[in-house]
Amino acid sequence: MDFWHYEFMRHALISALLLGPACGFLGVFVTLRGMSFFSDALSHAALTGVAIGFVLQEIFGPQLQIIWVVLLFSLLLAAAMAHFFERTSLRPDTVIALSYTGSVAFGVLVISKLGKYRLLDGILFGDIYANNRTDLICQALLATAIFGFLGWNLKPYLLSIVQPDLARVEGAKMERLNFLFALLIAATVTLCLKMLGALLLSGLIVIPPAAAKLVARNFRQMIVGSIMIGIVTAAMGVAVSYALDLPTGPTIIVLNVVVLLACYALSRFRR
Amino acid sequence: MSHDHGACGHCHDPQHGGRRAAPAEVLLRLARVGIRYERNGDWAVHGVDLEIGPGEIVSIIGPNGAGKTSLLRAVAGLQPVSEGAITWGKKGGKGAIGYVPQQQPPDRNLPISVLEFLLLKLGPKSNGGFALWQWLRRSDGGAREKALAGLEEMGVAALANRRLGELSGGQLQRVMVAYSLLGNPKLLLLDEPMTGIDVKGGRDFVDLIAGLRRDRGVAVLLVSHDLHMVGSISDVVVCLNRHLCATGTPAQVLQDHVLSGIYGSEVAAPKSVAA
Repeated sequence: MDFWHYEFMRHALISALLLGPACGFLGVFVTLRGMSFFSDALSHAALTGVAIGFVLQEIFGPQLQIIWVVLLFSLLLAAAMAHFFERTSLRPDTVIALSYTGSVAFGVLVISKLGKYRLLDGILFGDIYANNRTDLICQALLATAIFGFLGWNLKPYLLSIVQPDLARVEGAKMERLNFLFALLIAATVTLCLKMLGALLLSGLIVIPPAAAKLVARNFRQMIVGSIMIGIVTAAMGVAVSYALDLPTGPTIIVLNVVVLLACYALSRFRR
Repeated sequence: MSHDHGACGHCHDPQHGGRRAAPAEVLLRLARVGIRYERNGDWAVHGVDLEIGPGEIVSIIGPNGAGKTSLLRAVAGLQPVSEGAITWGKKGGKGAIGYVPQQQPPDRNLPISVLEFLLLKLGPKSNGGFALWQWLRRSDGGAREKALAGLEEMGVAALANRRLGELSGGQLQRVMVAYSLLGNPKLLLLDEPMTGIDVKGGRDFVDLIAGLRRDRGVAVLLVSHDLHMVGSISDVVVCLNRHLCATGTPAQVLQDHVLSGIYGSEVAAPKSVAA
């Protein structure tokens, strides 16, 4: 394998091996809690986070890390959406649609005004080869946080999917856990941006668990299946895109869709 | 005993205020309990005095919006008490509750098996323990056997590997009861247990509750609209309409004039009880 030669290829592969399983595991809870659209909205809005980051870089200089601006913006948007869900008569899907179209529009305006339109491609569809050492460390921390935190709190999260009151009776502080969950999604979206881009990244959160759910007979199989699909599709996406000279982000997502269709076929076949 | 309520404005009957002898021992005591709705601060229910003895089956009846579910949720700790107090007797305590929520079938395709669901109850503390690890290497045999024994007791051992979402209303209810019994509760709270259950299932459920009381000595506090079931199962019936209208044995409370005062004129007591 000659691609191990290049540092950027090694970084890309390590990034895929960290984020693939982490997204697969997080995605199990995202999809079962019906938050796929929420993660989609946050990922689209990351574009605006990047745009605001550019503006702040103009003001404070290039040493400002855009990644923190994106994370902060995702969190603020998540909080704003939660506020709209609870305090207005608008339905959640409406709030999500307006917040992500609005933030994408705003982001594109700012980026074009700054004359950075040529960077849009990388922001929207990802640029996995741009991963540097700091990115990898952040991604490793994220993967640890996802497996550690969700693994530790598996019981209250799973119970609240079955019946929220059951988790509360057991003493789980669901308001706090729900907030921390939204935080985890925001952090994941921010750190997946380089690999997959704002338009595609929620695919790696949503498709592996969806595919696993089609064939899983119980929760254990869904978790294991989703993590495996996340690892395999992300790593294969890097290798295949290198071999065939294709963009990596779209390759990973297309592989995910192929796996999902295969799982669907398997589930029909079993019946 | 403090069930001397005198005239009840809602029930238009100064005489009914059913009374009952106090239980010899108190498991749970509600003293002048009042609960406000969180959304607008109105009283859901107030001034409720009630004592539940160990192994007693107490049913709460009343029209829609009477505060029945609010009261049950307050006992479960799901809703704050705005006035008065809910206190446990010697045998009680916070962990002594098994809560069976109103039937809300989970997502039909939820990929959680019945056994996995029960194992959640036997896992580590609700907020601690690295559950994922246990999950991946399958939980230990002891917990598995305990969960299966719980299903066996409810007569649903055959469902162990089925998905939770595939179960019928009656099956899901038995699984939910099995789940809460794994915590060895002293008091079982059932919210509208007869919803979505047919006549045969209803009779089976009455037998099930009676069996639980006999074998485990567990007390039951339930909310129901089903006056037949309430009449055949209960030691004490509590009639609620934003305040306590009547408390007593089924024969005392389930009478035409009491019920019509609360529900409206067309409601009659079930024949088997009033006779």
